[in-house]
Amino acid sequence: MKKLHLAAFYILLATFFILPLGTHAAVDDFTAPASAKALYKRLDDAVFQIRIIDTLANEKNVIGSGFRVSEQNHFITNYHVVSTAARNPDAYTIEYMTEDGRTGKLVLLAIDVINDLALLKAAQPATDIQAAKPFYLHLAQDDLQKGDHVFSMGNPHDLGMTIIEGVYNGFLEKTFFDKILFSGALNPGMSGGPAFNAEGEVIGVNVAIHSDDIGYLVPVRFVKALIHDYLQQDHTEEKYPISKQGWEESIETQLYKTQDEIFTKILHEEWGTQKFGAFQIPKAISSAIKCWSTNHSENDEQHHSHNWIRCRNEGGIYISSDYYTGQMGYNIEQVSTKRLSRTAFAEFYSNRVFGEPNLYDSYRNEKSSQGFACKRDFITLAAKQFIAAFCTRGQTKFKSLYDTYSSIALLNSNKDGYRIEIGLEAVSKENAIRFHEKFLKHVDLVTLQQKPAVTLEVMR
Amino acid sequence: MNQIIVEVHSSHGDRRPRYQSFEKKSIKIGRSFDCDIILQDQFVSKEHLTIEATENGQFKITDRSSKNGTLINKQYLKDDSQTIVSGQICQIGKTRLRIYSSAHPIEPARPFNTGTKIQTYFDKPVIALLMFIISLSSGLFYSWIANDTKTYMDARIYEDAFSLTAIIAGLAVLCAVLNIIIQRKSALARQLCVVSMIMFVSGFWITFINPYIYFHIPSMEIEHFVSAGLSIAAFLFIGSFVSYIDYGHLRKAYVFGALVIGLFIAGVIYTQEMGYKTYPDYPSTIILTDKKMKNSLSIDDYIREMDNVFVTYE
Repeated sequence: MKKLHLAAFYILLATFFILPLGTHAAVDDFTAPASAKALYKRLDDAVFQIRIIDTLANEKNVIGSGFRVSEQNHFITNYHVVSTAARNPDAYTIEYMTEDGRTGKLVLLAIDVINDLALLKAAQPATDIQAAKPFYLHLAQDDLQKGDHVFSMGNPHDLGMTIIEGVYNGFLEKTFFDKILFSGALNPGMSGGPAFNAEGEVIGVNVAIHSDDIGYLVPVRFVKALIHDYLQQDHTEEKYPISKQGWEESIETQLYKTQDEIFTKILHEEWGTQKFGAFQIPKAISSAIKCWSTNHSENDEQHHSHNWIRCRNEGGIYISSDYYTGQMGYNIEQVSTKRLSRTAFAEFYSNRVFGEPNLYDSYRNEKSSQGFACKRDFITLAAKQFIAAFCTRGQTKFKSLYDTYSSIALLNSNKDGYRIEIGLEAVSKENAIRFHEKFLKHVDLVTLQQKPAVTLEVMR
Repeated sequence: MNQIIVEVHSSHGDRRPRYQSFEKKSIKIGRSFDCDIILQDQFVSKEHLTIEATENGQFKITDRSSKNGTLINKQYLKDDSQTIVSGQICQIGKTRLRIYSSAHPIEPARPFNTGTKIQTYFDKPVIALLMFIISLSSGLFYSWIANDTKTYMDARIYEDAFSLTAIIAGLAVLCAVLNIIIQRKSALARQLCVVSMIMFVSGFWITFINPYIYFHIPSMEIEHFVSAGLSIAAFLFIGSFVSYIDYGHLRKAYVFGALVIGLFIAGVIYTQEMGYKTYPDYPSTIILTDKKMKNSLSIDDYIREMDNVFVTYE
C-alpha cells in the first residue's frame, strides 16, 4: 500500500511508489457533477490542509489533509501525515490551513497506527475561523452498497482543495487491516481527507493508493472508535504535546495488541494440508494470507527445476518513513536436478538456501531495528533431517516485539532439495514460537495412503 | 696446471657419485692396480681408457683396445680417441664417468632452511611430471563441470576454478618441461615449480578440501575454527613460502606473512562491520552430507530452544 502524504524528504520514496505528479494533471480538469459542486460548497469549511511545520526553519515538512469532526474543534487526519510530529514533538508542530491561507495550531490527542488515524484538536487561542459554532462533518451511520457514488476531498500536491468523485467498492477482502476500496483518483497530499456519501456524511478517510484510480479508505468505524476511546479516558492529567516516549508506548501497545489478535485468530483456525512434492505442507492458514505458486522445469537453459509457493499478507503498518512493519509470510520451495553433479548441486542448493531471503521488503535501518541474531540447528522433521536457521531481530523502541526469520532446508538429498522460509514482523516472542510450532507440526511426508490432516490444538 | 676431475657413478653400491681429482696431464682408468682410477666393474678392461687434458680445457678420451668399448653420449667411440668438453658423460662397462675441468661453472649454494627438503623434492622430474598429470586431469575435470553448468550464474565458481586450474596447468607444464629438459639447473625452473605447486595446493584446497570441511564438520563452531585456521595456515604458506625458500630472506618472509595475516584479519573485521543489513547474516554452508547428524533435534526441542534466540537489547 502506498502512502499519500507529501514530504520533502519523502519525495525520493514517492518516486518509487507513487506515480509521477504529471500523470495526475487531469484532476484539475475534472468536471464534477452538480452534486459534487453543491457538496464542495457545503463541506469546504470543514476540510483543511494539515501541515507539519519544522520549528527550526518554520517551513512545512509534510502536508496532508484533514477534517473537523466536532463542535469542539476535533480534527481527524492520517497517522502517517502527523507521524513526524508524533515521533519528534520538539522539532515539529502541526498546523491546519484553510483554503484562503489562514492557519492555526493543532495538538495531537490520540493515534491509531494500525488503521493509520490521528485525532487532533485546535490549540488555544481560537482564531477567527473558529466561530462559536464551527461547521463540522458528521460521521455516517449506514453502510453503503457496492457501486454507490462517493466523494473525496483533499489537497493533492499542495495544489488547492479539490473534490473528486468515485465509486464505493466495499471492504477490502482478505486482509488483517480493514480498508474500503475506492475507485477514484486519489492523489498524494489528499491523505487524511474525508470521503463522504451523497448526503455529505463521512464514510472513510483517504489513506493510500493501490494504483491509478484504485485507492483505499479507512472505514469510518475506526474513526468513531478512536474518538470514542479517547473520550472514554480521563485526560485531565495529560500534558500536551505528548512526549515522544508517550507516543512510542502508545504505538507499542497497539502493535502488540494487533499482533496478538491476528495470531490468536491464525493459531485457533484449523489449517488444512496440501501435497507439495514429497511432503505435505500447511494450506490456507488464514484468508488474509494469499498464496501464489510457480513451476519452472529443468531444460537446456536451466540446470534445475524449481517449484515454489509464496504466501503473504497484504498491507502493513506504517510507523515512520523508515519503518514499515506488520508483514508476514512464508515460502516453500523445491529445487531438483537431473544434470548437476552432487557437488555442483550442493553448491547451488546452499547458495539458494542461504542467499538473501525473499521475505522482507520493509524499510529498516539501525535506528528502528537491531541486526539479526541467528541460531542454526539440525532438526528431524517428518522423519527427515533438516538444517534450520532461526533468526530474530529486536526492535529498538518496541522491546516486546520482534521480527523473526526462519529458513529450514532438507539435508541428505543429492538431487532434490526442499526449503521452508518463514518471516514474521512485529510479533511477540510467544506468538512467533507458537506459530513456528504449529507450522512445523503441519509438515509431514506424503504417505501412499493419504491420511487425514492432523492438526495440533494449540493451548492458550 | 690443468686438473682432471672425474665423477664416478659406480655400477653397484653407493648411489652417490665419488669424485677424484688429479693434477696430471693424463690419467689411466681400468681394473688393474696401476691405473689412476681403479674400478670394480667386471665389464671394464684392465686398462680401459686414458683421459688427457688438452690446452683449451677439453679432454681427449682414448680407448686402449678395451673389450666392451667406450660410450660418449651413448655412442661408441668412432675412432680410438675422441675430444669431449667438460661435463660430458662417458660410459665404460656399467660405470658412468663425468669428466670436469677445474674451470667448470658451479651453481651457487642453496640456502639451507626448513623449506629445503620440500624444495629438493620438487627438483625431481618424476614429481614435476606427476604434478603436471594431476593438474591436467583436474583441469579436465573442471572443464567437464563447467561445460555442464556454464550457462548459469550458479556456475561462476566452476568457471573461476577452471581458469585457476588452467593457469596452474600451464605453470605445471612449464615446470615439468624446464625440470626435465634443463635438468634442474635453473633457479627459475625451481621457483616456477614452487609457485605452481602453491597455486595448485591453494586451488585444490578452495575447491575440493574446503567444501568437504563443510560436508563433514556439521558443527558451526568447529567449522569456523577449522576454516579460519586453515585459511590462516594457507595465507602463511603462500605469504612466506616463496621468498623463504628461494632467497632465504627470513625477515622479509616474516614481514610478508604478517602483512598477509593482517590483511586477512582486516578483511574479517571489515565483513563483520559491513553495516546494517535488512536480512539475516546467517552462516552459509554446503548442506548436503552423507552423514546422519548426531545432534539433530526433535521439533519439540527445537521449538523449546527457539526461546534463546530472542535477545533483548538495551
